[in-house]
Amino acid sequence: MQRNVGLQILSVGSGLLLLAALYLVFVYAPLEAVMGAVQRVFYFHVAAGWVGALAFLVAFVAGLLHLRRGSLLADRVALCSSEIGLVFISMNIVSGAIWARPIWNTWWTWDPRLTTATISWLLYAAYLLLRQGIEDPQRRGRFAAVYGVIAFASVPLTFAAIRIFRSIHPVVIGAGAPGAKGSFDMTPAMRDTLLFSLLAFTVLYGALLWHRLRLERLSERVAQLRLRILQA
Amino acid sequence: MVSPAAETTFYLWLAAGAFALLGGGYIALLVQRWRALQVALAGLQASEQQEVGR
Repeated sequence: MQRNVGLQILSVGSGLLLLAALYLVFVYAPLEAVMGAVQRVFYFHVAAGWVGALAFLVAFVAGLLHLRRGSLLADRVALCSSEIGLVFISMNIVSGAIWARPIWNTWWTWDPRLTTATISWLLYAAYLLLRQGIEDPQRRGRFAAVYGVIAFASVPLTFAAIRIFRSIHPVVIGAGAPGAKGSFDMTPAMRDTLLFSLLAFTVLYGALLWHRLRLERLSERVAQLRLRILQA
Repeated sequence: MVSPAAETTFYLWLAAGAFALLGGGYIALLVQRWRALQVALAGLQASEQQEVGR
């Protein structure tokens, strides 16, 4: 496969943005008075959650496109985006558990936000496992698209969980539940750091998706060539 | 007993390690798969050439 200049620029750019985000998180953002250094987890925790949701949204739209037009490219996008989303949701859940240990005095609690995020994780892990069981690309694409569209319902539910259910998970943007533990008021420097982290993670997602799509195309090419040689 | 500041810093680095492990691990997996596919493609193309030659 040929070298892709656009992809190289995007990859280097996302690396530089990530380094700048690390500088903002560790140096520029002020130390939170109550939680101390562990509050800095917040910037990448939220950014990972955002990218996870964005990746699942892309998979949802690609699934709808596949159902409408039968496009195999849309199915490929749905697969790659779901896989990347699963990695970022894993980061989100693990970093949240690590933050919770000193703040909530427990690694895990079956809070509505944690539970719905785990349900999302399980749904998309199952999506990746189940679609491997179908050989025919068209059938596999249709099944995956329908599953992906239904599984996406867990994403807005996860977002809304801390706003509609009683929860101890803090709501930093907007009004939160009075029982939340670990809330804080963002200073302008904290807000800037969060917004920059969101940008850096979004660009990283774009680069990863592009790389992953190229990998999938290469994988299909190898499979087709193998089949052609076997049939010859 | 460690100080509260040292404890909270420990958890920050633990989270940083988790991010690096998950993100770096995924990227390493993609790179490894890409290389394996390139090798497989080169091998298959060579076999195809041999088939054509016969």
